[in-house]
Amino acid sequence: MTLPFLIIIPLFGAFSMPIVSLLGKKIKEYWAVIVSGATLAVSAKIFYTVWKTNEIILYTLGSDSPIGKGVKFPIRIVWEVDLFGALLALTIAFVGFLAVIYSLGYMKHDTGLEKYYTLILILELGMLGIVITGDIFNFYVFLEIMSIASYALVAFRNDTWEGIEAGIKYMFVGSLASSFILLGIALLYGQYGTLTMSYLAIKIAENPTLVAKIALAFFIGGLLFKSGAVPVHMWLADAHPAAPSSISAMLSGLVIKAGGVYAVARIVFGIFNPGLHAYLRAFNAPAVNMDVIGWVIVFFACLTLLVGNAMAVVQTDMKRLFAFSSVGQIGYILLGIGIGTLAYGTKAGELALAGAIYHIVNHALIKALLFLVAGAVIHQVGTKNLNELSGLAKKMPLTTFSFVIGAAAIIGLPPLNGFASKWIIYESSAMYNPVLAAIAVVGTVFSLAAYTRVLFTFLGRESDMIKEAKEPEKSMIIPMLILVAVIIVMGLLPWQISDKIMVPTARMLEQLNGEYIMALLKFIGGA
Amino acid sequence: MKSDMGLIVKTMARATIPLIGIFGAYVVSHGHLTPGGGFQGGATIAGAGVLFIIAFGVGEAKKRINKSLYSALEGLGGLVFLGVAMLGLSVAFFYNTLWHNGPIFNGKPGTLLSAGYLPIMNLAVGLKVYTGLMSAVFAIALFRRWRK
Amino acid sequence: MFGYWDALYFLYAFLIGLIISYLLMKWAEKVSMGTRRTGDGTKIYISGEDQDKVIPHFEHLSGYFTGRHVMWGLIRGVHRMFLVFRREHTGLLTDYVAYLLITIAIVLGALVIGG
Repeated sequence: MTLPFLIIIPLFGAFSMPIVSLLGKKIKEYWAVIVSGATLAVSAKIFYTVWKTNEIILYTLGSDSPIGKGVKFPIRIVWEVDLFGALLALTIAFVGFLAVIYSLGYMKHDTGLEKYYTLILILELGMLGIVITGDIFNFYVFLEIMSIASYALVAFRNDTWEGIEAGIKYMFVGSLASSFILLGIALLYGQYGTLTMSYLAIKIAENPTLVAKIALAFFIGGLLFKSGAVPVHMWLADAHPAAPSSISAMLSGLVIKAGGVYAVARIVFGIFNPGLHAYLRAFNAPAVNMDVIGWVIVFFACLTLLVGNAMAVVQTDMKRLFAFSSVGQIGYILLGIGIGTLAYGTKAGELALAGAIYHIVNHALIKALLFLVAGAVIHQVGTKNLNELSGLAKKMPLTTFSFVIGAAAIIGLPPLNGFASKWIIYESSAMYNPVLAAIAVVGTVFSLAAYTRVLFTFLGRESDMIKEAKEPEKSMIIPMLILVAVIIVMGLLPWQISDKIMVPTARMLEQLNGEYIMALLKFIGGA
Repeated sequence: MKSDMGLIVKTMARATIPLIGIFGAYVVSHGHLTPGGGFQGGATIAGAGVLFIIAFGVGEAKKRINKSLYSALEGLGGLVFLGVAMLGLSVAFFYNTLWHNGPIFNGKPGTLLSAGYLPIMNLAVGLKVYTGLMSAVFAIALFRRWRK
Repeated sequence: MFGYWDALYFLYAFLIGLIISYLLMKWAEKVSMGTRRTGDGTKIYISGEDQDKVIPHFEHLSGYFTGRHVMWGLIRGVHRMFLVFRREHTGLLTDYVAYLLITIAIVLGALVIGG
C-alpha cells in the first residue's frame, strides 16, 4: 500500500528539516528537493493505480477495517481516493516539486530558509491530505494545516509591509472562513453522529434536515472564500502578489484548487449528491434541493469570471494582474462545477464537470508557469511594475518565451492546453444555457485584453530599468521550461486526455451509481 | 533597560518553575489515563519557560536557550510521533501494534505502561509543543521594535 | 467527442461580432450630432473637438470621425467602469469580514428558502 507514504514522506521531510539544516546550508535545499521528488513519485504511482483499475482506494487509519468493534457503522478515519483526488495529488506534487527546485535559485538571498522549506513541505502535505481524505474532520485538519502554512508563507518576507499586511489580513479572514467550515462540520456531526463523508451521504439522504442545509451553506460560503470567488476575492489579490513568487505559484496554482474548488466539488458531489437527492425528490421524500446550490455556485462563478478578469485588465503590477486572472479562472472552474450540479446525470453535466477538472489541472500548470516567470523578472530586474518593464524580450528571451506560451495557454489559444478545457466548459454551458456561455466568453475577452497588455510590455521598447537584465540561473529556468513543455504536450493531445482521464474522473466524481458511497458500504456489508 | 523583574518575582519564580514543570510532566506522562495529554502538558511546561523569560529577562534567557537545539528537538518530537505511527504500517498507518502485540506498553488498561503507542506519542507531542511554544515566545520576546 | 474543427465556431462568432459592431457604428454615426468623417488618424476627444479633453488613459486612440460621436460615449462608459475597478485597493479588514459574512448569508438564505 503506497497511499500513506503520500503523507508520510512530506511529513518526514518537514519534521526532519530542522535537524538536517544543522548539517549544512546546501544540504537542506537538496533534502527538500529529494523529499518533494519522492512525493511526486508516490503520487504518480497512486494516480496510475487508480486510473488503471478505475476503483476507489479506501484506506483506514489504525486498523484494517473502518467499522468499529461491535457496531455496524464506520468509526475510524478513512482516506478515500478516487480518480479526482489522485489526479489532483499528482498535480500538486508536480507543481510543488517544480516550485521547490525554483526556490533553490529564487530564495538564494533570503535567510531562514529551513523554515521556508519546512513550510513549503507542510503546505504540500496539507493539500495532499485534503485531496485524499474521506473523513470530514480530517479534511478540516488538513485544510487548517494548509491554510496556516500559507499564512506564514505569504508573510515570509517580513521586511516588506506588503507581506505582513497581506498575511495578517489573510490570516484573520481565513480563520473566520475556516471556523464557518468547522461550524458546518460540527452541525453535521451533531445531527448525524458521523464524520465519514460517504456514510454522512447516506445519513443525510435518509433524513435531510434544515441543519444539513445550513451546514452545506456554511461549507459553500467558507470554501468560496478559500477558492477566492468574487465577493471574497480581496485576500487573494493581496496575498498572492505579496508572497515570494515560488509560493505564489503554489498558492495560485494549487491552494485555491485543493482547499477551494476541490472541496466544493467533493462536498457537493460526495456528501450531498445531487443525483441522490433528485431521486428522493422524485418520490416526494424530503430532500435537499441541489438545484439551488447549483445556481448559487453558477451565480458566484459568473460574477467571479467577469469581475476577476476585468480587474486584471487595469492592474499595473504584474503579479497582481496574475492574481486577478486566477480569480477569473476560478470562475470558469466554479461554472463547470455549478453546471455539473444543475445538469447532473446528463451529458452536459458530465462534460461540464470534466471541463472543470481539466481546467483545474491546466490552470495549475499555467498559473504556476506565469508566477515563476514573474518571479524570474522580479529576481533579475527588481520590479514588477509593468510600466517599467518594457522591452524584456531581447534581454530575457527564454523567460519571454515561457510567458508567451503561458499567456496564450491561459487565454485559450488552440494549440495549447487551456483551449481544450475552456472549450469544454463553453460547450457544456452552451448546451445547458447559452447565456452562461456568453458570459464565459466575455470573461475570456477581458482576460485576452489583460494578457495582451503584458505581452506588449515584454515586446515594447527597451526601458532604463532593464539595461542590466539577463536570464536567471538554471535552477529557475528549468522548472519554467518543464512547465512549458508539459503545456505544449498537453495541448497537442487535448481530446485524448479529455477522453482518457478527464471524463472518467468526472464520472467517478459524479458517482452516478454511488461508487464513492459503495466503496465504504462494502465493509458494512449490505446495509 | 533592565528586562528582569524584582527580587520577589524572581524568588517566587525559582520556587514555582520546578512545580509547574513537574505538573506538566505529569500531564504529559498520564496523557492516556487522565484528562490532558501531550499538547496540554507541553503547553504547561512551556508556561514554566515563559515564567522564566518574564521573571529573569530576555538577557538571561538568551544565555540559556539555544535556539537551534530547540528547533532540532521540535523536529525530533515530530519524527518520533511519525515513527511510532509508522510502526504498524504492515496493517495500517497509525495501527497500534505495540498495544496489540507488542513488547512494551501493553499492560492492563488503566496502568501507566499501557495503551501502546499513546504514551510515546504523548511524550513526542509534549516535547514538540514545549519546544515549539518556547521558540515562538522567545522569538516574540526578542522582537522589540521600540527599543533602540 | 469534438475536434479542432469546432474552433471554427470562434470564426463564426467573430464574424457575427464584426457585423454587429459595423451596424453599431453606422447607428452611432446617424444618431450623433455633428459627426463628420475626417479620415484616418483623427484624435479622439471627450467632447468631440475640444482638444484639452482627451480621454485619460486612452490618449493613444485615434479614430476616423470627429464630432460628438456616440462611440466616444461608449468608450467613456467603459473607461468609467475601469476607473471604479482601479479604485479598489487593499481594503480594510472589516470590509473583508463583511464580504465574507454577506456571501455566507446569501448562500444560507438561498438554501434555507429554496433548498
